[in-house]
Amino acid sequence: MITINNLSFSYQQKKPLFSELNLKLKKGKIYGLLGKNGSGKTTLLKQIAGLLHPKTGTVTVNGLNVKKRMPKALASYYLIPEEFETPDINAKTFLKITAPFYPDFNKSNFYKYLKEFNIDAEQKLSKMSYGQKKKFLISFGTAADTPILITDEPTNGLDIPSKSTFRKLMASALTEDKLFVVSTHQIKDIEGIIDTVVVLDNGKIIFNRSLEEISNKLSFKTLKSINEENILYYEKGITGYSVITRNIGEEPSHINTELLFNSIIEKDSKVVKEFN
Amino acid sequence: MENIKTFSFKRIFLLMQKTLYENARSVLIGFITVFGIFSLVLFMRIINGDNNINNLQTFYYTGFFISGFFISGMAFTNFRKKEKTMSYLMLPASIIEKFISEWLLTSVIFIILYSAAFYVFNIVLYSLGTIYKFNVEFVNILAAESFKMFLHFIIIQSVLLAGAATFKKAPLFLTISVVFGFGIIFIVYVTFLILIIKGQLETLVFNNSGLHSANVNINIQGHWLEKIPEIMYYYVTAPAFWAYTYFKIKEKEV
Repeated sequence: MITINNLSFSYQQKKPLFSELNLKLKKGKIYGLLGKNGSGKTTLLKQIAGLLHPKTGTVTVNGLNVKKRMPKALASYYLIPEEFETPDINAKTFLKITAPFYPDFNKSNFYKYLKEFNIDAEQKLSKMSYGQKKKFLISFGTAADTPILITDEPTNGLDIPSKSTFRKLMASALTEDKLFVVSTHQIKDIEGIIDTVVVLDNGKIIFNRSLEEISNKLSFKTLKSINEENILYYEKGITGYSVITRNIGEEPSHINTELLFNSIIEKDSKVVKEFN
Repeated sequence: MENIKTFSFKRIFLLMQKTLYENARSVLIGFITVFGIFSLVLFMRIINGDNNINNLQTFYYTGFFISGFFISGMAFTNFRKKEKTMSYLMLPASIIEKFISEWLLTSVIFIILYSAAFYVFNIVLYSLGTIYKFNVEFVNILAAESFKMFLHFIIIQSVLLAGAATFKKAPLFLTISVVFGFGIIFIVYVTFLILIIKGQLETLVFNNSGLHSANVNINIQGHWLEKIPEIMYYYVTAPAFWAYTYFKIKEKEV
């Protein structure tokens, strides 16, 4: 559904951000795009949304080159950016003037989502807090029912109950013909909803595996000491050591996404090598 | 989803509707300001004993160009902020539809709205004139002269529209500055050209047919070259700036 072919891009002439980047994202999945601050996550999302043009290479959505900004391509995705501006109108008016651009927009879902987030449809968007605006946009973007939903740091500014509502909403909205991309550096917030982990580091995709593959290959444990063999990564905590080991015929364990992420971005990561 | 075309009149209408809803307050304030100033000036004239309000045509034209230029400077208002630019560029409509909707709003729709508002203003003023005993002329909005004015407006407006798509901040001011800047460069260029041809600087004179040096006499009367400025103005300026605006939107990145 989203295909990135040999993408090269740079903000400054001598400092390339992406060089020959390739990525394929398939429908029916929620991808967690993870990366440190400044790793290029937002730039990659902007490339997918056609907001930035590649220096070389192509980005296609359902086979359509996003650079051309054709209505068919634009109507097939909705991007909820981290920073946004809302007009001085209420949710109902916004719905009236924006929803018709999305052929499959689901009005009843929109009001349902607003209710779940406790957002008043009569309140002016410009008078809402950052978190309320974000919840409004999440509701609108999800109700747009586009085949692709892209969210950039969606949980920034959300309170704890709203983060939980967001996770529920994402999980319930995903169908086999849809693809969600959730970009964040707050990994804990999206734990439990993503089914594929994509890690971007210094403009390169260094990891792209499904949770199933991860749990088949790795085991996540807490140990009192680290004398066990097959340890690929560990972090010392208050109660002991959080470790990642090779999974040798063990039952799949609960994936500690934060630990996994830290293990991936470390230099000469043993975890990454385990998958190569 | 398969039926989404590249060009749709419905989407142009939706784009215009969205822009009007989001900018209704600014447009309303603009109109109130223009007609407020008209009212104030006319009121001052009446209380100073002027009982013949017979030059409303001048008010109509002046207000038309001033408010028209301001409205054109407000075109592509989403490009003033990065976040709004993102939403606008991602809105499912083609580039040509986005261009046409902005052009229609700042030219055709503006002409209709301004003229209608002036007509209502004229009627109100006329009614007040019958009550408070002062004479008010009726402006013929549909006169041939008005259509000539609309044509000039659309040509000049194409430059402002291009400026609105180019400059992030203060597009009206920057566009006018750039036009003046180019004008000055052109005058300097012509001056040096005369200096080269004549060997001395002559007095430069502006008249209806352009820039002339008092002592340089190049007679092109009746020659096809004489038509070039007119052709450039009427047939090249607007399409060239529209094309520039289109490509500016197309290449916009954020």
